[in-house]
Amino acid sequence: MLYYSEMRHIRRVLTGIVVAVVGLSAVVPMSASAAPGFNVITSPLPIKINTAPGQTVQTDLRIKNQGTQPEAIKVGLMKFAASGDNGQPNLYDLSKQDQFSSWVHFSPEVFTADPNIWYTVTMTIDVPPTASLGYYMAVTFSPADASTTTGAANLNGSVATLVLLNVVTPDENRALSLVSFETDHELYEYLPVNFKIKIHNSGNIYVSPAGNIFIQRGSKVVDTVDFNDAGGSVLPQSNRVYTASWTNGFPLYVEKLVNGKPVPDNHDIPKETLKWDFTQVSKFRFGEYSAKLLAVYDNGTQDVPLEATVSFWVVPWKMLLLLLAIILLVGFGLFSALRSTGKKVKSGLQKRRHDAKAK
Amino acid sequence: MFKNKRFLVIAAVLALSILMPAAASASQLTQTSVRLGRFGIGATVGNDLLVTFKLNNTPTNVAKITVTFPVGFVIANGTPAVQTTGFPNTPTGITVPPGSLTATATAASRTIVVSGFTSPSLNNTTLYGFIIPSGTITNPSSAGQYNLSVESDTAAGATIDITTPVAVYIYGGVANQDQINVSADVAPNFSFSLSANNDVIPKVDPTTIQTSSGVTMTVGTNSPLGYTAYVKSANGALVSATNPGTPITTGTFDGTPDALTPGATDYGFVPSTGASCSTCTGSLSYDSEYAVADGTHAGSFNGTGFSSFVSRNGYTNADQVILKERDSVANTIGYANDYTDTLTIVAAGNY
Repeated sequence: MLYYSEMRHIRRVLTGIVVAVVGLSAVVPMSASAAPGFNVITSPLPIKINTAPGQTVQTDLRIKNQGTQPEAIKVGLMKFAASGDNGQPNLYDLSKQDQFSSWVHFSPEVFTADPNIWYTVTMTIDVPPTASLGYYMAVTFSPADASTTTGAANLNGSVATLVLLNVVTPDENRALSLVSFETDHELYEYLPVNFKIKIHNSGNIYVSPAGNIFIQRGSKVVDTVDFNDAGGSVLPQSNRVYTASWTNGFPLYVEKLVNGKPVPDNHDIPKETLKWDFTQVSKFRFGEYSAKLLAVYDNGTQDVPLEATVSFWVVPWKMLLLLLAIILLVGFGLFSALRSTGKKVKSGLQKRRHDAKAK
Repeated sequence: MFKNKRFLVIAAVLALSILMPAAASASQLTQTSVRLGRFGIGATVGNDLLVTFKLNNTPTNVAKITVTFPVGFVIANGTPAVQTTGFPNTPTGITVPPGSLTATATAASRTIVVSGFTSPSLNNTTLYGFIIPSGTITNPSSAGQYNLSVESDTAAGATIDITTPVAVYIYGGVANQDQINVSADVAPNFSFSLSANNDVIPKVDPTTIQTSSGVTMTVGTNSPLGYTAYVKSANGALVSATNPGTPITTGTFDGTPDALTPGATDYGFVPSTGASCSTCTGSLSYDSEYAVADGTHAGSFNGTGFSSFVSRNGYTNADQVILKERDSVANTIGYANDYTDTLTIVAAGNY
């Protein structure tokens, strides 16, 4: 049996604990890892659809929840345009002017994804008869139940799959032009040689060029490099810079790896190291080379070529300097030895003559 | 008497033939097997030959092993390099024979003779083996059972033991029916994860710059075109319900990180590389607005719109980017512990 004073004391202690807990919860920041984040994998990557006005087209988008708990996922739609000239999209929220948003439907739009199960979302596009040319969409998968924590920056993750819709009409204009074809240097010590190919799309629909770069020494083709084998597109009224590398040489600069991982420099660019693979010694490169680009694109009726040539030198100058130094050293050694021997012979002859005279 | 002598001779011959069978003619090797690399008709590519054998008589006299193929097989003249590695698990205990083995393949006799054994070191209890690499043997053009022979020989070429037949079965109506062409498609994929959904910036006052502990974004893709990641601030500021009139606003979105100063209000985004990818091409590059290398700068948000902050122009197994927020406040910013913003992080494969 407790006395009244003891009960008051216990009540004070309990009240103090409650106040302390409430106060702490208000002052102490929440742990950043309080809730696991969004974790998904999607497939496929950029989807290219060709259709005609008035048609309905469908495509499947797949997603898997890689987390450990079921995740409610909603499917959304944005649009994209070219950002710069490296094939990076710029994402935008839809506006009222983007009428295509009413053509697009997803099934399902919201669903709960259990861990480690692939789900298929069907994207249906009811293309109206008035539609024409290109529509550049980004389908987003994001958490349907994004909670907000007060007193923190809340992060909502999303994955976007790009969809390039081409509504083919007679006024479609597929036109590319080669702006430049260049190497990043004119003189290389060793391979790789890096090419930059800048292409402008002056038409009104996206186009994907493809082709080869033929490496020639004199008139002989010594190697071939693929151009845009990944199928990157140039959006209308924009430029795109493609890169390609000639790496088939000995020795070769490669990414420096430590424990199997690239080592970045201060600018997050992987450091390089020289690889001496003596099984590739026949691919030692030296002299002036020319690279001939032959790319083609489909203008709707035929393949149109884009051609250009650039020259560069591969001169392993450090190796040549070392060789020259060795030759000079050996030559100097031989010269010194011969000179010394000559002096000895000469002095020996002189001594003999002197001795002979003395006799 | 004569009759007795004749009986004695017959008895002696019978006894000898029972007790000394080897003396009567060459006997069989104790254990023998051959395995062709291909069983299809006319097969040459990948058609190596594994021979295993356990010697029987006078093992220390054995200097050669001869494999003879029946009519139908085509043996190319040459000296194939004998292999003694890569034996299968069955039969068990295949042992490399002592010696430096060489082989001579002869088309006319359809034989492959392996020599170079260190005879004194051979025994009749070990299962020896060797492999004749592909390029020497072409299978018959007709299916059916074919009987090979394997024999042990002296250095002079005299047969010691011979096993025949050693059967192999060649089958198929057309070439390459013994092989299965395997083809596979790899689906394009794009993975994305955030390690957490919220990130707390420690309590800030006009004398400090504060930075959150960060949330890790991990992106992987097999697309050689790479990917781009974007950030969008819901408010362009940290806003407080308690003090709605004094938001902690973001700086100027101008392609250059803002320099934060204690006592001046600013709020920005600081992405940086975490663990590097282990299998990747191209390079990871940050947009100039978010190329922050110290503890006093931050990239501003593009108002309440999306802005790209990092991209890769190749594939990657896992790029880890640590996403942090940084702020500083003027001494007029109202005190409260409910300053909040919502950042939407989107990652998309390049086109």
